[in-house]
Amino acid sequence: MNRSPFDAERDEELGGWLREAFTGPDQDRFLRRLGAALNGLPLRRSAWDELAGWGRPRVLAAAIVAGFALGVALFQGWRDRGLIEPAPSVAAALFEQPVDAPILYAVLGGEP
Amino acid sequence: MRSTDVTESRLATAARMGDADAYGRLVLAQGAVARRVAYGILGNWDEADDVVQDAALAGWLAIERFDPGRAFRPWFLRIVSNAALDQLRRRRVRDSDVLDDSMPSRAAGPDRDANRSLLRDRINAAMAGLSERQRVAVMLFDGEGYSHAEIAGVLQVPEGTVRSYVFHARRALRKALAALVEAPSR
Repeated sequence: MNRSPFDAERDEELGGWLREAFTGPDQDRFLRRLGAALNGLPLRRSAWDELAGWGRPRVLAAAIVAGFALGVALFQGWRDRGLIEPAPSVAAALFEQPVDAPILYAVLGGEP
Repeated sequence: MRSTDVTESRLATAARMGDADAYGRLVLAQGAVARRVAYGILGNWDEADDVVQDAALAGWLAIERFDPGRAFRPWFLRIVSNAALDQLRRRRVRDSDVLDDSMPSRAAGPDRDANRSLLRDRINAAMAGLSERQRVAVMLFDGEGYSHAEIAGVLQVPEGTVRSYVFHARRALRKALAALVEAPSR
């Protein structure tokens, strides 16, 4: 007790008194209670689990969008290579008809 | 490195990997100290017990943030002291109340030595005059043998501040206990 408060060394005597004064009642019961709580710890989710849980709906949405984009890309690729014949427009189909086609006369209102 | 440090390090690594058993052993080993730290801040054993239990759960849920290269004890005590300080703030807001002038002393049993009881009362009274952080600092330094640096990690203050806490706490405690120590038969 004659030591200076500036001492950098641990004061064992004072420490003993502090531990004595700060040891609560029913220490064993407290430790049993803490042990019981520790036995019932919830399963811990890892960071990957958290990420997976958070990202699952987004991953699904991204997969749908990616699938759609892939389908469009494949379709365009096949069309460009001539694997799929593009349908002509109505105007183009009319102009490609032979001049003496009946429908042309009907449109102009003349006789054949 | 001491064998207890090696064991602690091994358990801490296992706990971080999700081993609840290893985590439980680590926390139980710190249970008594954690309880003293919480009581040092709160001045109430029931609240201290609840806080330690809550801190044990919080530590488990945050175990992946623990750096296995560092000691487990200061990391866990930091969670305990933060939880106790939060509880103290909540209580003060709720009750608009501050800690009593004298911390409650344990009920003395019939066989309890009167001088020891008096000593405890003096310590509690002296501790009640200190701040929560001063109480924790002197408890961990003189009571548990923690270094200034470790306590700085627990309380999240600079090491120099811890030295100041310990200095003021020791001065108050020694002043309160001087009469008893000089006249132990009293």
